[in-house]
Amino acid sequence: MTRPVERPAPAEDIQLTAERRRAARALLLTPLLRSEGPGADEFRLVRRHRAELERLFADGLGYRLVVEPSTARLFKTGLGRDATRPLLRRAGRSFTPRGYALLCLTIAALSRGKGQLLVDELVAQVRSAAVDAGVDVDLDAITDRRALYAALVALVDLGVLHERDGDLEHWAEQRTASLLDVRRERLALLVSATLGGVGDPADLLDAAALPSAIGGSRVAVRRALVESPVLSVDALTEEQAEWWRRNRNREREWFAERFGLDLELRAEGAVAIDPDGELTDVDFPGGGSARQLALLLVERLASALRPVARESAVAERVWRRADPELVATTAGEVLAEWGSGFKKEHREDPEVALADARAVLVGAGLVRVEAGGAWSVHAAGARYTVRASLAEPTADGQPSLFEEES
Amino acid sequence: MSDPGSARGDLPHAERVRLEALRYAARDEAPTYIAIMRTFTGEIAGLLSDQSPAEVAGRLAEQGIDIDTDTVDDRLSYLVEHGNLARSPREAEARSLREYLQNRARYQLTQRGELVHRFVEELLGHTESAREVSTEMLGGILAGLLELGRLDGPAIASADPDALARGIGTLFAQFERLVSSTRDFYTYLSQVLVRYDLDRSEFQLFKTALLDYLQRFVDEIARHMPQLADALLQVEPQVIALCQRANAGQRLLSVDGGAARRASGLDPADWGSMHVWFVGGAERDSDAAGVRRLATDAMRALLVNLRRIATGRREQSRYTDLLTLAGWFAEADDDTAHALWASAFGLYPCRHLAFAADDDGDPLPPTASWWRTPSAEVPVALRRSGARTIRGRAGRRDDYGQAKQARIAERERAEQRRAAALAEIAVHPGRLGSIRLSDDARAVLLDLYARALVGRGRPLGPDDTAEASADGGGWRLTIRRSPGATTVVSSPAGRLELVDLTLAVEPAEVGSSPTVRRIG
Repeated sequence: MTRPVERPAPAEDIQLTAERRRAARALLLTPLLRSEGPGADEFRLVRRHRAELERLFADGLGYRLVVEPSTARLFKTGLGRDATRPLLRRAGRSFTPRGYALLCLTIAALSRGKGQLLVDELVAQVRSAAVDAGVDVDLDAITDRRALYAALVALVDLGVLHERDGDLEHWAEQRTASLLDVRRERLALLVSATLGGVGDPADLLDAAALPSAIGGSRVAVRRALVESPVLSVDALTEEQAEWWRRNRNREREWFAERFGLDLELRAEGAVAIDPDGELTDVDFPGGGSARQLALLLVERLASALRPVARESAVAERVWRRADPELVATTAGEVLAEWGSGFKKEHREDPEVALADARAVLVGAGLVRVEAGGAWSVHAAGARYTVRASLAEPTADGQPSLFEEES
Repeated sequence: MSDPGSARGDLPHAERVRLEALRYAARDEAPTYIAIMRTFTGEIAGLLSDQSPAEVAGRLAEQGIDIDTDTVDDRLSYLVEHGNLARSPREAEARSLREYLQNRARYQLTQRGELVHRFVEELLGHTESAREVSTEMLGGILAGLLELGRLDGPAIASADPDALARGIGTLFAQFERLVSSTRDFYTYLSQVLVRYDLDRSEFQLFKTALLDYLQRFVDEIARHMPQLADALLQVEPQVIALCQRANAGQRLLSVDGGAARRASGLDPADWGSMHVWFVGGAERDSDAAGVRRLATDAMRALLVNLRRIATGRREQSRYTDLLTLAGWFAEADDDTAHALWASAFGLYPCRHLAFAADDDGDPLPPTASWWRTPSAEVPVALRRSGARTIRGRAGRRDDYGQAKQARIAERERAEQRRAAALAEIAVHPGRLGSIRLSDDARAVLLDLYARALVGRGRPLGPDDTAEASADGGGWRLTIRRSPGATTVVSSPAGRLELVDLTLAVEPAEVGSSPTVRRIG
């Protein structure tokens, strides 16, 4: 009896895979993609590969993807109590709690209003929303006005509001008139968490960090790898750690194919590196004196901690404690040696420089600040140490800089 | 009634004065004014009488409104100034000075005042509620028209004027009801359809009712319309005769001798509006057809509304959620606020470290420790100066002068060879029968041959000629089809025989350009 000939599966078109990868990366970097503006090309790709992308995000990361004619929205879940991803104003500073509150009130007011309105009308509605919410807002005082202006600008940048006419830029100081168009379909896509039934902010934060029941460990670990710089084994539950041990080699391929990220697997955890260096909002290592100082600090601290850490058991060496004195002396050394290249503020005030560098390192997931001012340095910090090597001649007499690691 | 002034957008003075009668209802003291006007229009008995300020004050006191007589007097004077009331001209004999002064001021209602106050009352009592279109009137109108249509000339002349007037009057009263109720219904509809705050249950309630109603309404209009139009057209020729007969009874004359206005319909001019409504005007559709169109538009707007409300429902509940969220933000500290932002909105970008440490060709086992494995390859510039830009001089430009020279020399040599080859062919003027050529010359000959044929474009017929001009040689190659003749070209590489073709070298015609010849 002859068996039917089995044909091998047709090779996946390289072009299509590359397009899907590009679209997926764009969505991870900008969860709200628009048909106009800088992400227009990626948006078109998202629309083209919508079905596969929906499946990818739903099965792989447990995220819901909604693609509408002019907007694509990847609904990301929360990061738990991670405070390193604030909303940034145009100048680069983060939003204040007041700014966030006004942003929520503005969104609430817009959701009840018409498709086009003057700034003054919006202000009136925000006022009434503030009264309904029980939040004390004085929109005649300049601080609240600036906060509201920041919220409006954030909404313009998100593509929810569009300035049709008038002068919005000077509204906070000069109360200029301005006509705003409201994109209501995007307004409806802004909030990602289900807020109904949540009684407490703490509940919301914890619920957001919980992975959905479907997918369990796989989804939780993958989310941590995709969103955060460092995946640390001590942050995984038993079940997740078990799953990770069994599947991490396969995950390397999955990440490389779907997102173009290279996984670096180690005993203490993993990091996902983007070879192009693009898939991140903040670069580390990067330019600027805060990041330079951060790099030098972590390098020296990791070198100082390494001898003991190498010999410890796994559980002991994921995070290593650096005493406040060690931190202070190291910072002093670095500033003395390299400080002349830093920007003026950092040269003049070492405390500020240290605080900025610490913020960078905490944002990169490499350092935790303990009580009393001590730092805990993650094992991943050791990958930024500098290894001075002596060029020794190899067997055939040629000096080589490449040292084989035992 | 209008004059050139109103064409300019100006109200003539007379009309402005009339509009003054509306003022009292919009002032601060409107409640008092309205109460006063009510004393005049309240009962039928009040319509004919006149009252003094004291009496008015007394009447107001009965209702619980306490105003002193002087204020009442002021109010009444205001009303007189604006045409709502008039000072009564009735003379009553006074018994004393005081009585005389008192009696001087007696007030009575004007026609204008009565009209205005009637509308004010209607406005006050009006609720923004739905009012059904009086489609039941359609049947009555039809019956009335049919009956009038049955009367021909002699029948009209012998009909009872009162009965006729009654018939026409009823007809027009019904028509009036129909038109006003239609207008009312549609204004109500337009208000309701654009409301944003309709509750889902509210909407549910009247959505079905509205759709049903509109459907029925459209059906009824559609059913009666053609018949009404026909009946009206049948009556219209008799309208003037009908009105004349109906007006044949006793008529009221006003003070200046003109006939008083009668009920609507008894003047031929009134029939025009009914015509427009049911039959249509010169270029426009009948109003009834317009009503049907409005009903379709209303149904469409209803569906749009429904869609908006269905999606808006989610936004309603989101409103309260967002308010709660705003409250949480306002009370949180910085770190909690940032965490809340990430959790509630999920708009954060992903974040990754840079610079790989692994060598793809030699992957390390996952059980290795970071403390022991090689470091990431970070550019030295980042450690040293925190900058990623590469600075320095631009490199030297490459020098291609020599290569250029070589190419030019080579080209010159090629040119020389070609010229030599052309010269070699030109040595054989006239028909080329059987000739010897070098390889180069043969190649050039064939090139000219190809160019000639390509330039011609069509196959060579018996009398046709193809030509190609030798560039710079002053001669041209001609090709003709000549059955039986052969051209043979021998060269070191071999022998070429062109069968049935004659090639000839002919001097180029002075002043001719190759392109012109090729077309031929």
